[in-house]
Order: sequence, then C-alpha cells, then structure tokens
Amino acid sequence: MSATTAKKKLIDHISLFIKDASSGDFNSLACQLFGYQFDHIPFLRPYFEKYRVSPAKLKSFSDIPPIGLNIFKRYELFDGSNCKKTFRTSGTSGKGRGTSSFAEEDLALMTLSILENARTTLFSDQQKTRFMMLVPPPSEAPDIIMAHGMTEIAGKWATEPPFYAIGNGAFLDKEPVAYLQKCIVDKAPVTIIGGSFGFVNFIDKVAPQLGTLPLPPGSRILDAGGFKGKSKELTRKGFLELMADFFHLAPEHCFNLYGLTELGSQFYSRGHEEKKPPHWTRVRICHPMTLQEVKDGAEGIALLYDLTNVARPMAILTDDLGRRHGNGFEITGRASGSAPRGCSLSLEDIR
Amino acid sequence: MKIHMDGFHIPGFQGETYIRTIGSTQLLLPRLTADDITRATDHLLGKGREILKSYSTDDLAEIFGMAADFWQHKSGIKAEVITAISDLTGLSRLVICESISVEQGNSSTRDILAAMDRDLGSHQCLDTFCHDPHLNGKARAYGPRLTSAVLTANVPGLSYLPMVRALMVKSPLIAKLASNEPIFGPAWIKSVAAIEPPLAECIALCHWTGGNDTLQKAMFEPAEVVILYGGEQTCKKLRNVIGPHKKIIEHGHKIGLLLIGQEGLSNAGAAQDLATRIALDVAMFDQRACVAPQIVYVEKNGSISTLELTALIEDALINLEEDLPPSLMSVDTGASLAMERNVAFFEAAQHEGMELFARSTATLIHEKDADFNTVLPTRFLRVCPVDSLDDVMDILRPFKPYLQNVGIEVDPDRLADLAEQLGAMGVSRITRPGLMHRPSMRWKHDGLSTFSELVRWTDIELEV
Repeated sequence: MSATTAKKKLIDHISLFIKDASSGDFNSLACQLFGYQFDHIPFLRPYFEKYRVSPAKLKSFSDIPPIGLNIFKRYELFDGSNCKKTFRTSGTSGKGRGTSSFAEEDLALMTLSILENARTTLFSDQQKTRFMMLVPPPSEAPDIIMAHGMTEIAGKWATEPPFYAIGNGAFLDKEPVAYLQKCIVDKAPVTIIGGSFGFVNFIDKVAPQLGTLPLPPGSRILDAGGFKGKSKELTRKGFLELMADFFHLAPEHCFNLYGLTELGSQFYSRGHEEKKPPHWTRVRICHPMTLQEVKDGAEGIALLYDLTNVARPMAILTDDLGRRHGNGFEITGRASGSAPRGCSLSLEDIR
Repeated sequence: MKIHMDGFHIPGFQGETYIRTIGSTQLLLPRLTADDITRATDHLLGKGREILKSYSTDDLAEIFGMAADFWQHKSGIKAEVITAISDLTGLSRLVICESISVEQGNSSTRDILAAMDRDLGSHQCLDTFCHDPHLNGKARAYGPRLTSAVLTANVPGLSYLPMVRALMVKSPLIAKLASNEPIFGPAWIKSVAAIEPPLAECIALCHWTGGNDTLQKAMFEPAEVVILYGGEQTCKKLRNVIGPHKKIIEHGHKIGLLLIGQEGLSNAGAAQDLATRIALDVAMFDQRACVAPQIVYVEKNGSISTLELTALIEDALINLEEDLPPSLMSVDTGASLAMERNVAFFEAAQHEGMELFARSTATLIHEKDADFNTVLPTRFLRVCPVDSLDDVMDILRPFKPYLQNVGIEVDPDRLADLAEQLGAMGVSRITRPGLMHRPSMRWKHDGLSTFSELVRWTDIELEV
C-alpha cells in the first residue's frame, strides 16, 4: 500500500472514530498509526528501533516512545506530504521555536477534532454567540495554531464575523468595550476567547473606568496559556473569581483550554473541573524518570497521545507538570529546565 | 522529632522573628529592617573590631582549626545541622556529612596559616610590623574595618570560608545567608563561640528572601570590601546596588572539566580506577559545586575506548549511590532531566558515535563531536572524544572567564604543556581526577589571593 493510500485509510478511520467512539478502538488505531509513523515520518524509525519498539511488537499505545518537545525545535518531524501550513511554537518553552506542519488532509482532521471538541464542551448547549477575540487575527499571526483553531470555532459557532480586540500587537483603544457594551444592549450572548494573561490585561485596562461589564446570559469565556513567566500570576480560583466579578460569569461558563502547537487536539476544562481528554486522545501523567504512570493525585510529567497527529508524532513528551484525577487531569506548571545549582555554571546563565 | 535551628546570627538582635517549618526542621528567622542592619554594623564596627584586635592571627587560626576539628567528628549538633540542611536543600544526609568533612578537613590551623603565608608573605603582618625581605624595612597589613558578603547556597558547609578569611584579617563580617540554606553559617559561628565566646560578637549573619535593595544597601554601605558569591545576573544586580567605589571580590559561577589522555586508558584496571575517581568528583557535592566536572574531554585511541570509559563512569556513579545518595529529585528537576535524556536518546539514534547512558540517577552523554555544553547538575556528564587534548583549547577559549577546576589524567611529561595552555586560558586549579572535589584552603580560589584582596598595607621604609 502506498504511503498516500495508507494515510488516507488511517485518516478515514480516525475521522469516523472522532465522530463516533463506538466505531473503533483507541489502542488499535494508535498502534496502526504508530506503524504509519514508523515508516513515514523521518528520523522516527531509528529512534523507535533504538527503544526496540516496532509495529510488530507494539501492543499498547503507552509503549510508544514519546517525542519530547525540544526535539521539534531541532528536527522537522513531518511525513513529507504536500505541506499546506506550518505553525510555530511561541518559544516560551525553552530556547528556539518548534514547528508543526500540516498537509490539506491533516488540517481537515485537526478541524474536525477542534469542532467536535468544541461541540461537546464549549458549546455543549449548542448556542451560537457573537465572538470577541483577545488574540490577533490569523492575518497577523499566521503561524500561531491557537489563532487558527479559534477562527475555525468562530466559523462554526459565531452569529456574525468575530471582533478582534487586538490589532498590530496591542489592544484596540475603545472598540473592545464598545463591542461588549453593544452585546449587552442587544442582549446578544458573546464568547470571549484569549490568552489567560490577555484577559487579566484587558480587565486591568478597562476596569478602573467601567467597574464591571456583566455579559448577557449565554455568554462564556475561553482562556488558554496560563500565567507561567508572566508579571502577574493568578491561580485558577483567582482567575475564575475575576471573571465572576468583572463579567458576572459563573465558573460553569468559564472554560480553559490546554493545547500545544505540536498537537492537533486540545483539552478543555470547565470552571473548577479537571480537564477531560476527548476520546481520540490519551493523557498519561508519569514519573519523569521511569515514564510510568504515577498514582492518582500525584504530580508528574504529562505525556499526550493524539490520533489527529497523523503526519506528526502522535506520542508527545511535554515539559508540563500535572496531576491525574480519575479520568481527568490538571496542569500544575511547567518544568523549569533547571536543577538546584550551587556555584556550578550553567550556559543559560551567560548566554 | 522536631529540630530547632537558627537561620541567622546577629549579635544583640531584639527584633521580630518567625518560624519556618520544613520537614522536621523548625527554622527561626528574623524579620529585618534597615535599622536592624545598621545596629548590627555599628556593633561590628565598634565592639567587633575591638575584640578582633585583641587576638593574634596565630590565636585565631588555632580557634578556627579547633572548630574545623569539631565539624569533622560526629556530634549531636552536627547530626541536627545535617538533617536541617537536608530538609532545606533536598541533598542527602550522607552527601552533606561528607561535604562538611571535606571542607573542614582542608581548614586546619596549619592550612589557614599556610594560605595566609602564601598570600601575604607572613600572616604575622596582620599583628604587627614585620620585616619584609624584599623591602628595606617593615610592612604591616590591615583588614577592612568591615567586610560584607552575599553567601552561596547548595554547597553545604561553604559559608564558613568567607567568615574565616575576614576574621583572620581581623575584619568583622556582616553577610546575607543563602535564603535556602541559612543553617551552617550560624551553626559554625556557634561552634566558634563555644571555643572562644567573644568571637560571636564579630559576625552578623542575616537572612531575608529574594533581593531587597534597602537591606542590601544598609549591609553594603558601611563595608570597605564586599565578597559576592552568585551567578552572572545576581552579581550584576548586586554590583549596581553596591555602587562604583567599593572593592568587590567576586566568586561567580564556574565550570569544572576533565581532560583524559589516552595513557589514562592504557588498561582495564587503570580505566576502572579513573572512572571511580571521576564519579567521586561528580557525586561529592551532588555536582552543585563549581569544582565538580561537567564535561570530560577524552583522547581516542586508548586501549580502553571512550565509550567503555563512559560506561565505567556510569557504573561507578551507580555504585556511589549507597555511600553518597543523590538528592531527592523534585518533579520539576526530574521533568527537566527527562527532556534532556529524551533529546539525547533521539540524537543518539540519528548519529553514529553518540550514545546516552542513563541509569538510575546517572546520566552520561557520549558525544559524537567535542563541544562545550553545560549539564543539569544531577550527576550528569558529557563525554567528548578528541584526537588530542590540544584540540580542546580552541573549544574552551570562548568560555575563558568561566573556567576554574580542571582534572587532568596524563603522563607527567605532558602536564606542563597542558597546564601552560590552561593557565593562560584562565583555569585557576589543575589537579588529578578524584581530587577535584577537595581544593585545599591554600588554593588561590578563582585565581585570587583571597587574603591579599582583603587587606591594605603600610610599609616602613627608613632606608632606600
């Protein structure tokens, strides 16, 4: 079977599985996908062979040797299909920017994942809303995967073209508040999407004049990114309190998204709840040295498995720390990339 | 059982304190104001200086030698200090115990006086005018009216060193303790006070967390000399607080290296012995000290291959886990190490000659080509094969300001030439593998005559 045929067949199976969990089995699809990636993604085969893992021997997805995020910064890990789009990481996680390439069929699979995920979480009430984006429009951030994904969501769930509150890298002056006030006057629910820190920045900017801005019923917010490395850090509880105070949004209308440029799928949580992996993904919280799963509630390193990563490695070793809670998980922070150090030099210190 | 420890030592301090509990340790810490610091420096400049004037350097060295002796033996106090440092830093008790013993073992009365004589000609020049054979007359040295210091963390026991150096030149010292290890300094001065109570009046050891410009200024302002330990960025910030017209003795972060000639790999026994010594240098301070090696440059073509040596070091590091247990690894450090290992394993799969050795807490990367890359200090070495050790010099050149200890295993007839090149490059100590972790007090620390740096001189020249 040619690579193109094999890929098409796999994507067809995975697409069906995303739409209907009863149509297949995650582990079986993951093992098939491993076989494809073993043969068709450059650099992976010698790595898997060094681990003595081959398609013939693989029994469980959890035995797939994961690819660390830092490897994406050094190697182009793509199956060589006709590349339609390349996204880049922001560079907040260590030095350099990783890349993530997509062919037409990969983009379609990612879009399916994004929309299906949104349908069952962010828009589980099936309510369409207006959209205000606290992220730059895709034209200004063509290689940021979140901007792309949010545009897809707006395309499906927005009642009108989304309003972008950011232009030329900065918040617009008065227009964002005017837009939200019009939503209030029109009693039109609005979905606000942005980086976690973007919400705080926005509220810090406008709250002194406005006090609060109670959004119409049916409104919701989606934040992503967290506060790591930012000048102001908020706990999840603090963030939700801020949303309740300023937008008068109850926690159940506040969603958080955890995603990576290297991954086609994302993970949502609602209010104070933990994140639930969609059924075409798996998350294992593991002991960093053994990569064996830790006990429920214990902190470990997050390993992510995503069937929509067909042209790119499906098993990812992140540098995010987290805890598993039953079928869900939470992200607790990011590895610093360092260790306690006395007077012993680190090159990071002098570069 | 709870252990109660003081995380500061400030003569006459009457201010507010609080307790921080870490594991079994209850640490008493002060809430300091700039006025508290000023009261402490006034005390040191008055009573502290007077007390120090009343001792000869021989007396002081004898007292500090006795304190060093105390810390080399088992005691209830030492056991509590070790437990508390372990609670705070995560270092294992055996590593802390061994670190203290090694540090204090280099600090006998004889060592202290020899180090001073190396630097100053004669230590007695701090007591009186002494005949100077190179001057037609006499010379006398004076220590600073007050020395201040910012001390390092994570190398257990090291905080005593600037205290000994300042007091030996009869300068009272005020220092900020490392916020995550404020235990050993106060415990050491207590051990000195148990031998000679008045000396407790000559030192103030302060504690606060993070940078605090107000407190730092109050500490630096009355001092004539400032000793700084810390990384590049920390020292830069502190230099700005100190201002331009004060003498600063800086011990920045440094790197240790190993250079192994092919003659060190002439047979299996020699390689095994070498690997054991290298592992000891890595494990002693859990690789957190600047004297610990991070990179090993090894000549190819020895009877034992560079890959075989790497495997032997891995075995030796594992064997040391019982005698020198590694620190408890946080999830953060573990995750950071997992990422390093993951990249190395991936790279090794792509490149012939590169290999990752990762077992238990030992991590060794046998590189394909020689390079200069530091490691996470978690018992982690990069082994770089080279055709000749002479090739290493070009690799090291861009990092001249950061080179410090180099352990060399070559035949004696090659040592002089390599030492010449390394010395010119800025390396301040050359030794054998296995001795990197125990620099003597006589070593010119970071290439500095540390006692000379502290003093000023008065000469009597009656004939010219």
